Amino acid sequence: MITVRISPPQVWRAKQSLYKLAATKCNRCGNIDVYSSAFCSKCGSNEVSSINLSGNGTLIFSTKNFQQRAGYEKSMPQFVGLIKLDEGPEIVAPLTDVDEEPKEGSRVTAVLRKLTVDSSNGLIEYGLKFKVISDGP
Amino acid sequence: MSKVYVTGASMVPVNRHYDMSLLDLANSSLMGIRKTVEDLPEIDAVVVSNAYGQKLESQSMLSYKISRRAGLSGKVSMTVEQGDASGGASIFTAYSLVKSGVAKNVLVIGVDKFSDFPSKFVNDAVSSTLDEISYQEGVTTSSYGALMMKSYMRKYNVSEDYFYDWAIRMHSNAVENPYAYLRFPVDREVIAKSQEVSTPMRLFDIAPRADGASALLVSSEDYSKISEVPVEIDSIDFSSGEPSISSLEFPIKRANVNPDRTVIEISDTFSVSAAIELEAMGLAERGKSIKSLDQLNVNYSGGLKARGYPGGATGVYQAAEVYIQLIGEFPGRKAKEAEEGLVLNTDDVLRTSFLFHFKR
Repeated sequence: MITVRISPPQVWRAKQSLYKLAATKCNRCGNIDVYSSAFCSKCGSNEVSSINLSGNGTLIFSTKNFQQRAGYEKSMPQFVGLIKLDEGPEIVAPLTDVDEEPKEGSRVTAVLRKLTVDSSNGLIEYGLKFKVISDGP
Repeated sequence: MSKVYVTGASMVPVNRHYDMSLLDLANSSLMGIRKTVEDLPEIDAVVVSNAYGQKLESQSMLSYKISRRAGLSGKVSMTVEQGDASGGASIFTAYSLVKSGVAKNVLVIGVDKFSDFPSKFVNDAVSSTLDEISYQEGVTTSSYGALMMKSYMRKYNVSEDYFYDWAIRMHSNAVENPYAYLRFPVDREVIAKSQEVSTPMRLFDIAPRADGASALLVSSEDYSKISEVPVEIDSIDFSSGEPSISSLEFPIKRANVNPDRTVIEISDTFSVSAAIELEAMGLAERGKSIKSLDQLNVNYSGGLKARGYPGGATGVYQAAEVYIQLIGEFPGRKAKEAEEGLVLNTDDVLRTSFLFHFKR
């Protein structure tokens, strides 16, 4: 049977992206990837710097999702946003603390929230979700 | 350059095959090839296309297991995985083996299985194709589809009901296809009242995952006559990259074909995917594709929407359907004038795509 398993090393390894919105900025072409990597995804250069993004951005629009995934039943219905981060990149990420689809153009910021719980030993995985801070600029 | 042909194809009806394992399904598609190809040549290599067997069925080394059971031990065999574009990647592999002269006859077997677990587990497996952080945050591929649909609606100023015609057309095609999963017609009212999956997407905007297996025989020119009507794989285009949902840019190549003479199978994971694909290939005007379906011989199988969506087997089904159309033996809605075929096989959220051009 498939169960929800959390691997502590996996979560620990992903801490830069799960807790802080770490990114990779290319020193050659300026592209920003929203994860840690040794290479730029756009030009392939290895002249890259690790940066931390502010976590602030603007909601382009969102969806209210009713399709469950094992381990995430408690966050249903789930709101997922297409977000333009202040540093430029566009990401898809879950929204939190909302009861209905927020206004397009709302300002959002990344906050730490519980994501899921291991189904056998109760380990908790935390990660970033986005919270609305104001209706717009 | 040497030419490469499709010389045989078989399909298992897409369904919830509770009585069949991955290996049983693959065997069944192989039996289909044995029954339809009269003089089956010696097989030099077996390429198995499977996307979710490791995660859902706990099965690795599928190609070895399938080959051994079929008496093909000792032949080169491998499993190719590229999410729901696995079928395209597998046919590309077979094509390359034949084109390079490494093999004369390659058997491609697409197989995947979803009905052993409730859908929340299937959704989890399918979402593992998303990047690591999105997956860990609990996002589903359907939410990506919903955001694509919203973006399309904004850009072209259309509402949800613009997309209804896609589901209506797919279900009406599937009624005639004995290999299809959802063989019933739908109307606008049924679609409008169906459950919301991820707003604005409803149930009928999404292709249903189901079990399936399909086999394709890919041969060199010396063996092209195995097929009464030889069908050549004229070209394969590949494209991949990071899409932009807000500006609706996806890595899909343009198709240079005459639509009147071409039978087409595309990857309509979501109804908006169909619109994006037809427009990016240059087969329909941007923002109007779903209203111009009468001009295209598209998804006579019923598409992913109604033939069903058997994961890594999907691309093999699409190629099999186009081959069977071009030899004039498709048991469903026929593209009578078609001389050429086009298959677009993509992953769930359009980051990678294989575009096949067939000629008879």
